[in-house]
Amino acid sequence: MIKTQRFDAVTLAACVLVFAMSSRPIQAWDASFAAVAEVIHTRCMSCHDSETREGEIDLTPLLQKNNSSYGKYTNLWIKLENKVTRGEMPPPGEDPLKPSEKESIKNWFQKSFVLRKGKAHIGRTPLRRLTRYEFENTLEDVLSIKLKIPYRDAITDRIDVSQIESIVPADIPGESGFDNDALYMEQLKPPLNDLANAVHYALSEFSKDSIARKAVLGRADIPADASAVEIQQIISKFLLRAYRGKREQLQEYTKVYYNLYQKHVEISKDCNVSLRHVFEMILVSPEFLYRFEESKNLDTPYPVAGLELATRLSYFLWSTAPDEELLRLGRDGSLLQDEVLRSQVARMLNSRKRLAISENFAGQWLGFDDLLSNREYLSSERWNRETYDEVLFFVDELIKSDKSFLELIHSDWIYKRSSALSSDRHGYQVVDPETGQTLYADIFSSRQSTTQNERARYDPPVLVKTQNDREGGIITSPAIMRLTASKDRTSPIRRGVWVLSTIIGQDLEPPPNVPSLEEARALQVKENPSVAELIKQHVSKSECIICHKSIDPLGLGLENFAPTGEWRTHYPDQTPVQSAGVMPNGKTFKTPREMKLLLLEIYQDDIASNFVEQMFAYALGRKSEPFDRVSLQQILRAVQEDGYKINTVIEQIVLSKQFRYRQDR
Amino acid sequence: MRRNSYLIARRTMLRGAGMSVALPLLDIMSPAVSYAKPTETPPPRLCVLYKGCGVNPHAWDIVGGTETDFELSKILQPLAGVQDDILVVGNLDNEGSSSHLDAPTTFMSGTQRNRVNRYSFDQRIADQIESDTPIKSMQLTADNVWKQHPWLNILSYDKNDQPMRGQYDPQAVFNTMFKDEARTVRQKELLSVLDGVQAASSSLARRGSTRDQQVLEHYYDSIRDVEKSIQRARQNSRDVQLDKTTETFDPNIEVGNLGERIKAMLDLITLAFWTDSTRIVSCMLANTNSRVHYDFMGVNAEFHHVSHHVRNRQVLPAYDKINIWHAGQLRYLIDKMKSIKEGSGTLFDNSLIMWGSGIKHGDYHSLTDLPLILTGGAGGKLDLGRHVRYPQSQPYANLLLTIMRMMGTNAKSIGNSTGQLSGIMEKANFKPTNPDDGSWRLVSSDEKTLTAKGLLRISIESDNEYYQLRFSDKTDLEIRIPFMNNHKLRFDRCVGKVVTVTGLYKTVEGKKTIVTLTKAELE
Repeated sequence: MIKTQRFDAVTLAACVLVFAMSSRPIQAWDASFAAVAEVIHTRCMSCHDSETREGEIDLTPLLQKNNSSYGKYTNLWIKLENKVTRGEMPPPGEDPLKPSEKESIKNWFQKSFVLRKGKAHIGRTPLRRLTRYEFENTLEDVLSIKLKIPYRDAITDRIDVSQIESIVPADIPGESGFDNDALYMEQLKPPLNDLANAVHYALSEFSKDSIARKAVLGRADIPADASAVEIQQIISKFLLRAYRGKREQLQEYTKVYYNLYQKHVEISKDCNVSLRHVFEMILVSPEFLYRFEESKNLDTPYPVAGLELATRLSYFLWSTAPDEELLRLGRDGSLLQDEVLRSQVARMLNSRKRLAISENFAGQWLGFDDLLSNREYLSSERWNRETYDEVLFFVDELIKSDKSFLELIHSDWIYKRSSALSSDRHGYQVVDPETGQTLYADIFSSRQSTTQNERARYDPPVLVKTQNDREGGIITSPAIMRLTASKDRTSPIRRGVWVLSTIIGQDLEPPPNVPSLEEARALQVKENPSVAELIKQHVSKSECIICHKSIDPLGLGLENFAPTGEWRTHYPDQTPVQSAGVMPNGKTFKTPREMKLLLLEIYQDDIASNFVEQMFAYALGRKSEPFDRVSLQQILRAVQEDGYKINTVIEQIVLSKQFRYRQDR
Repeated sequence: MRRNSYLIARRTMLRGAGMSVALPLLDIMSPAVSYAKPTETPPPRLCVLYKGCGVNPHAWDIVGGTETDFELSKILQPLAGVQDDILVVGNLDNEGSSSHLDAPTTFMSGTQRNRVNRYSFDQRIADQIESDTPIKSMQLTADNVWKQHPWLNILSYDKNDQPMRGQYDPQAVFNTMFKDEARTVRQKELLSVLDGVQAASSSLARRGSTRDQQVLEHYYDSIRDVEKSIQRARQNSRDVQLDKTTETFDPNIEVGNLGERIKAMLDLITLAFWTDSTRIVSCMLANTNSRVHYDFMGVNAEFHHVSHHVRNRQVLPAYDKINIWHAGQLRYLIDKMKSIKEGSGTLFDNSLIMWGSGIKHGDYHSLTDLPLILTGGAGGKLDLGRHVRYPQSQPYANLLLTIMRMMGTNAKSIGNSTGQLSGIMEKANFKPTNPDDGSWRLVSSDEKTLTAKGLLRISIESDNEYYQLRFSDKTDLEIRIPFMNNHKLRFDRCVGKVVTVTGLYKTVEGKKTIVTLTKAELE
């Protein structure tokens, strides 16, 4: 049923034809927009015009030529293209689009949102500022001191934060979902007061540490009679370190900061104190806090310099400044070569600094960093650290052993906390039968507990093979089960939504038409319905079932896991847990293991492309956009061909154009 | 420059020094405190307290009574005993429906959702009033930052639309106010550092693209902010005169659950006002999507979860209990402020406290008829002990404008305000509303639809919530509609008004009941 807003397709075609005859290059453009507008008008307007607005969607603005590319309605276009490509629109019950109609939409989207002037591009490269996590790591490396809370092997009943973390406020995640979202950070004023106080603290620790001073300055103490040249050398050395190897204008910077030093030392009469003062300036300056790159002010992509690539690489894989080797290879340009880049990635993933990926990327993506930073999830120090470490070590194991990231969903091994293994091992193999060594991630070997106090002893989780069909992957880990429940009760919807949005990458929106419980009565649900009964209502309404046929089985399938992750067969009120389920494709499952295997069977492609997109967003500091599509598809293909290995994802992202090039507009 | 000083008795000091201090904080600053007698009237202070997640309207609304003689509703019970010190305001609308996501922002800026500039009313006041306090304004929060929706925890925004994060740690708040000595030295150092950085960057070519340079402006703005706030603190520093036999005043403030944190924050607000460290404070008591578990006061549930009390009838008692508890925290603050002498009255007399939620109905997230309490004497400007319900709904932004004027600015508008509100600084004296003119009845009906006119009430019977349209013959037409039907038509806002409804009906047990509304027109 076509509603009021008619426009004459014939007239439109005529206009296009006239236009075509007058200006050839624009002809194709206009013709393809006309085709798209025609499809929208004839196939979408009956539900999505400005009056009806089914699902709160009004597509009429998209009929206008000046809304046909990046601008106010970008998100609407993305949504439209997504639904059409996936066959979700027109909805079931309506005639599907003809292949030619689908093509015209896809072509238009490709032309307007993916390509620019017919060529692939990478969008504007935002200016990146150090996040708190990166700031702390970088200070540690520049000053050669320890600032982060050391891993403790004894329980003290406190989860402490480092001084830096208590001085500098946490960053707020942007649209990318990560706190290093540069497009968001660009809009904010940096908390300079706090950053300066943090630098001040770090420098006071530095001044107490003679080994650090020797390593950084070349000598532990500066004598009172140090010459101007000597002081300048020290400042120059420090600048090179703080500014991540930048040699351009080094002399000018040294001169400026030396002048400031001179002014200060006239009053302080103490060169160590005045040097510290100048170091504080350097570590608060924009060149330290921001990752500037040389700009050509172009609207097309061009490669970044070697040193800049070194910085991008080290912040992606290590969340800190590049080390000597990276700086050298960056400076002499070899890092720009594929083979060198590849071998550096391999080296870096072999270093303990790769922990940043598990802590910072996975911690944010999967949300398990909340176990250590959000009070509401605190049960006890032991419980929180154990469950956090189980997931942390799991993710690191994927990198260490070159495994597929799909094992996050299902694996035949996990990291299991010691407290669950202490008495009866339940058949868990904690020691490698050949070497007799505890099965442990190499970079964590120093975390083996040394305390003699049995009660306070904290042993980190160990690698074990799973023994039942409940464990495997991280979805059913106590960490995730706790994070997707509230203290007193589980919510299947919350868990189902978590799996669908975080792991599978679906963009779920709040339901448009939620009926009141009065309607539930009409379905003859009991006074205090069980979880499964409550959820049954979802299948009674067409507008509910669209999403809930996917959400509910996942959440229900996890109902055997209590809020803190233990296995239960009954609810607190003794009603039995019903957790068998039916996936949207009709296949059934009875155990978590079966559910996970079905997840992989049904959603593997989505899971893979979601994972790639998440890591991509983390690496680039912005969410992915339609114009990234070509690159993302290439990366995904390479990843698929290589068995979905996490290290391949990392390598492919590093090799991508977005990672090695920049663009100013 | 007026210097204020206060003495702290030795015994209370020693109890505090270096050990964990039991709350409430103010007990450590005992009766031996004096606020130096100012020559003029003590300046007014503004405290904005945000309690998210709305209310159950049935438990909040005051029914019947007059402006000065009314019965407190279920949620307001903890304020019995200070009923003469509060002003409950009703029927202020913030336009449109909202989600949890916008409520704090629209509450503080009186704007529609998705408006770009969220410059909040407290900051507008702070920017305009000439106050010689060391701290321009304070932002506090007792609730957590939730990563999924981090902006939910932010109330105040400055004039450049920058979010002003609330301080979560009471110790840090305390240190900001009282750690004077170490601060002065550090301040000097910091100014020198920032001077140096600016000198360095002005003499060196800046790299990066044009766009990068624009981003750097925020960096330099931040430097200027730090310089300004140091300057301000120095000009207006407070002398803490300690008892000579005491060495340090360094309490170790530790809080566990939300209840302790809120009390600590309220104590700190009182301390801040009393010592004139600042005159503008905003505090997030519970954010609008609060996942805090209230087991510390006996409710085994998350606040946000129980706020959805229509979809899930069972949680209603827990929801009311939490809201009652929150009203009790306001009572705590009122009592504290009344106990502190200031000038010829008390700190309470010279403060203006606004307590409320950005949404009304916890489940429908309606923005009409927001739950609001004003209290504190506001230097004599606020007329207390009243319940004012505007006969026609007023823009909520008008209240913000009125408060901005009461605090001494010459603001002309904020958000979608249309002017100041009557009935805040003086009696409202409204005539009784909605008189029955005999026209309330079924107007027309066919097999499927009907149209009727009447006075709309909301009704709760055991665990059943529905609407009732009162006719002139004293019978009621029931209206039981789905959540989104209500949401889309904003039907909730018609409660308490005369409305003409049209909709599809079913006949249940011989009675017509509207099950889908197609139109609702207010008179």
